[in-house]
Parts: sequence; structure tokens; C-alpha cells
Amino acid sequence: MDIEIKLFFDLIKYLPSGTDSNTARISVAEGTTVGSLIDSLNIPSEIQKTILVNGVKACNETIINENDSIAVFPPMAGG
Amino acid sequence: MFGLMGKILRVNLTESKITEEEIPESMARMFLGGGGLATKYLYDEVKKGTDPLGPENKLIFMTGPLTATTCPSAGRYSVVSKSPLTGAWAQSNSGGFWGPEFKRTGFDGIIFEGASPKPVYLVCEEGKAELKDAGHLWGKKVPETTDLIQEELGKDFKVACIGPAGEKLVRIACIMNDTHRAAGRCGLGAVMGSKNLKAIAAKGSIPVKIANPEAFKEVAKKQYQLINDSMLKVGLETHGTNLLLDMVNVRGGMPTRNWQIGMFEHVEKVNGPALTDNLLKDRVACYACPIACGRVSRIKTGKWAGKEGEGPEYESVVLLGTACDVDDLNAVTMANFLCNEYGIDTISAGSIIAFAMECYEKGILTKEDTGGIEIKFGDADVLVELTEKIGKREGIGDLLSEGVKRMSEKLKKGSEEFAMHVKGLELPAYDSRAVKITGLGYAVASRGGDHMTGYIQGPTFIDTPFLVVEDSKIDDVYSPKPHDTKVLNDLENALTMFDVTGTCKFMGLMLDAKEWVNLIANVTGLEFTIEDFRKTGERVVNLARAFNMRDGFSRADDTLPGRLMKEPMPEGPAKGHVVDSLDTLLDHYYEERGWDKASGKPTADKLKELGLENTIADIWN
Repeated sequence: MDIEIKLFFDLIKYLPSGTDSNTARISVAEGTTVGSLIDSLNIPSEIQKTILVNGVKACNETIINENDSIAVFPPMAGG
Repeated sequence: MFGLMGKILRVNLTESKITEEEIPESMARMFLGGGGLATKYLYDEVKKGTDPLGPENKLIFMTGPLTATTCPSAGRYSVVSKSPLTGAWAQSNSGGFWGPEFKRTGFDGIIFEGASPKPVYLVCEEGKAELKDAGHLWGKKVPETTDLIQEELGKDFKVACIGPAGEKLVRIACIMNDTHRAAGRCGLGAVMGSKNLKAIAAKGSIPVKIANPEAFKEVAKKQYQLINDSMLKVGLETHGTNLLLDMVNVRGGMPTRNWQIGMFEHVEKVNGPALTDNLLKDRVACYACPIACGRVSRIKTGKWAGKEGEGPEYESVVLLGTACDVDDLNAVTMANFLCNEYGIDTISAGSIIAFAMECYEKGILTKEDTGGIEIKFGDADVLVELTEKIGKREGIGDLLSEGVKRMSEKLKKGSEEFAMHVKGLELPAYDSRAVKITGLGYAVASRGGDHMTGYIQGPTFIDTPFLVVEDSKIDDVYSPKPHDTKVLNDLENALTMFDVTGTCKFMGLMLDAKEWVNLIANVTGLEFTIEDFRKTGERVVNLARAFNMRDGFSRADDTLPGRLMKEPMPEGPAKGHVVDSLDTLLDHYYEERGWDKASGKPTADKLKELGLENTIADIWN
């Protein structure tokens, strides 16, 4: 199934090669979790991050559905 | 008490009389300094019913015990008064270098009272102060005013001043220092203008007396290093506060088209990387700050090419940009520069223009009203033009200068529902339908629709844990629980302490309460505990609340714009949501605070517990 992945700031480098923005559409197997998606992108687990699925905070165990939009941010502060 | 210089200046502008006063030790111990001490003076000296723009109102500048020390980010001062925008207690706070420079002149603060018969400015230098004629400065913008004063007195003087907006009593006028930094909110520049006070110039080298200098130095150095090494610093330093734009947008809480929707289509044109790539010239830090979130920006292309200044910050980009549906970052930056030059609050200015655009869209404002300007969403030139008109109070700018509350009361026709303010203060850049507990934060903040009192946006919208409280975890942003009202309560008490001590709230993210207590204890020499830290913050929150209650505010004022409570978010992650639980949240919050649920007043027991017995008769009789 196809999903959208958006990585922000320093995490952009973990998008599939050839991606020319911070967003990519990729195919994943049904039942893929957020944690396994992050692993498949080779984002180091020790990097703190906030993961949102369709704008709602998710955890590693969250199961991804078709056409979900997954956004991953590094730690942030300010405002 | 160590940490304070121990005295303030009292400047009677009506009589051109300057006196020095010692700060009573008991008062210093209870309120420490900054916004706390200033609120105590305001409560005691400004009577119920005072006209904010009349000579009876007072304008109080106050630094804190950590200001001008080596504590990280200790460059801040507070201005406290009664707001001409809200009629409520007002505090505005600013960084830069003016605060520490002023404190080193030998004073913790200044109380301005009365009104001068002609424009004047105050010069403070090494333990002395005098009023000077400001006739030649009147009408000048902020950069010109600052330059002229520095030409007269010397480049090493730091200047806080108002621009033309403050002189013309624009209700969203701010006080600017170091040319580019703003004590922005609540219209305190208009209070300064009403007193014919153009500026305060300061130069000083008197050191702050620290109780345990060696221990303090060690702790401050360690904390500076800790922040310097923090991951949280990286994004702020790289992209400034505007780095938040993407995350708030992804959550669907980005005020767009005057809060009609919660996502901005062209976010990549105005976000942090866009600012960094297209406008950033340099990064600047305030006094003793390891972060450097300030931006020096230069417009490189188009009709404003070559224009340079500081900003824009996240809030300014959202209110001047997405709220007005403007995706031209050059125009947003230009409008931001104009706000700084005329001395107006970017948040309120953007919100007012967005409100005017919606009124125009709905036919509530017409070309006849606007002097022929078509105030349409998305028009970058109109954004810039209206910003300047507010700064000058010119044409339609005269109406806009009054703020959205007064505008909607005048325009009516249902515009009250989408005038985005609380108690008259325009809302900042987070839509509460996407994180409902932020609506409670806006509703109860004593200065009106404000995010900095408790900054509940931090642990919710941007997922930052706040170490300065025991627990800042919010589980479900769409279904707030009673527990969440305790988190807000705790954050308000803790973050108030940054205004009290003269430090930056960004540090509240990175250091825990124990470390702050260590800094406060070592600078003041007080036996200061975490309990004292929380209690002092709570005392100040309650005193500000008592100020408002004495002036007739009540639970009914702790509310939100109709749009947030009645209009479901039309799209995005928060689709279908409204802030539907405010009354229940208020009940829980008041209970947590020890406030009466019917009236919203702090109970007599709570006021006694906090040592605020003197306020009981004022608000309960």
C-alpha cells in the first residue's frame, strides 16, 4: 500500500534517494508499524523525534494504513 | 536581598520630579522582582477604575534578581501597567540588552506616574537619572529615535522607546528596546505615549551583588553549557522560532484566513527553511544567551529589496502571513519591519488585518469605509499598506488601531464571532480546536488571549517536555482531562518565575525547577526551595487575577471567540472539532487554583495562604 512520508529539518537526509523535497510517497506492506517504517528509513533510534500520523501524535506501535501521512520531526522548542 | 540593586526610581512626569526609593525587604522576599514586584506596586498604587491612558495609570519597568548576571538568558525585563487594549492587568516582557544595562545603572526598576506636559525622555547613568526634552524625537520611528539618542549621549547607551504608534495612542503599540526587541503585547507603548514619555536611555556598570558569587558562577556556567549542548537549541538557532510552523500546520492548528481553516496550503513558502534560505543575514543572541534564536533579515528581491531588520518570529509569520492568507515572505517580513519601526505588536497587527480582510470579504467593511482599499485575503501589498496605516493611525488605520474587540463592537453584523481575542487581546498563532487545552490557557490568562503565561502549547502542539514542572504530559489533545488543567496551572506558576527573575522562558524548557532554585538561592542568598519557587509564581498569578477582579472582571470574561467554540474546523486533523468543554475545564481549573467557581475570584483562603490578605476586601466586599 502507498503512504506519504514527510521528514523535517535534519531528518530530510533519511528520505529515499532522489527525493527532491521533504515529502515522498512510498509503498509499504500492510500491517507496517511506525517503528518499522522509521527503521526501514535508517533513522537512528537514538535520535529523539516526534511522529505524527495524519497530524495526530503516534508511537512506534501505531499501525499505518493506506494513504496515511507520516510526519517526523526532530526535537523542537520555541514559539 | 542580594541579586537586587535594592532601589527603584519613581518618576513623576507631571512634576518632572525624580526620587529614589528602597524596595522593602519583605516585599522583595515575597515577589522577588521583575513582573512579580511590578505587579505588587501596580496593585497597591493603581486604583480600581483607573483610565489606562490617564495620568493616574502607572507604567512600571522592572528587572529581576537574575537580570544582568551570568545566568543563561538573564537579559530580560518586564513592563507592567493597566492595558489600554484590555482594561486588565498587563505585563509585557523583552530581551535584548536594555534590561541588564538599565539594572547596572543601580536600580531594579522605574515607576512612571502622571503625564508630562511636553515630550521627554529619561536618561539613567551610573546611579543618576534625569529627564530631557524629547521634542526633537517626537514623531520619529524607533530606529531613528534610537540613533538620535545614541548620537546625543553615546553609542554605549541602550535605548527603550516608543515609535509614532505609541505617541498616537494606538492600542496595540509596544515598547521597543535595542531597536529590534519588543515588549510587544497589551499596548503598553500607548501608555508610555499618553505620558509624553518617548524613551529611556541607560548606561551603567554597577555590578549586581551576588550572595554566593563562586557557587553562582559555577552553577550558571554549568547551566549555560547544558543549554549550549542541548538538541533543543539546534533548531532554534538554525531556523529561529519560525521552525515551529511546519509542526503546527501538520497538526491542523495553523490560523489561516482569520482562523477560518487550520492548514496553510503554501507553508513551504513561509516556514523556517524558507526564512533561512531567502532572508536570513545573521543570527543574533540576547544578553547571556547560548541559543541565538534572533534573526537579522534582509529582503533581497522585489520592491522592498535592500530593506533590513530583525525578525520575523514564528508568531509574526503566522499572524501577518497565514492568518492573512499571504504567502509572500518578503511582504510578511516587510510588515514585520514596519511593526518594529512604528512600534506595534506584530501578533495584534496581523490579527487585526486578518479580521479586517474577513469583514471585507463578508461586506461588513466596504471600500467606502477603507478609503478605497480593497482589503482582500492574500493581498501582500494591502498587508504592508495596512500595517503602515495602523502605525500612523491614518485613514482606515484609525479604526484598526483600536484592536479587533473594539472594531467588532463598532462594526457588529456578527463580526464579534470571528474577532479573535480574549479580553481584548488578539490571540497568538495556535488554533485551540486542534489542541483544546490551549483554549483554557487563552481564556484564563490575566493579560488576555496569550500563550506565554502558561505556554501549554509547548507540551502539546510541539511535543516539548517542560522540565520546570513535575508533569507536563497531555495525553489526548482533543479530549482534555481534569489532569490537564493541573498541568496548565503548574506551568503558569512556573513560567511566571521567568518574568519574575528576568530570564527567558525558552530556558524553562531545558532546565528543571531544582536548577532554577539553585540559581535563585545563590543569587539572592535566600533559603529558596522548589516549594518557594512554585508558591512565588502562584502568588504573582493570583495578585494579577485579583487586580482584574477588583476592576470588575469575572468568570464571564474567561471565554473564547465564538469561532473556536461553535464553528467546527472544516478540514485537516482537527476536522469537526470545536472547543466544546470550556465550562467544564474552567470548573476543574478554578478548583485546582482555589478560586470560586461562580465568580472566578480567588477565595479568601487561597489569598491568605499566599500572603495576599490585603486583596480580600477589595475583591470580595
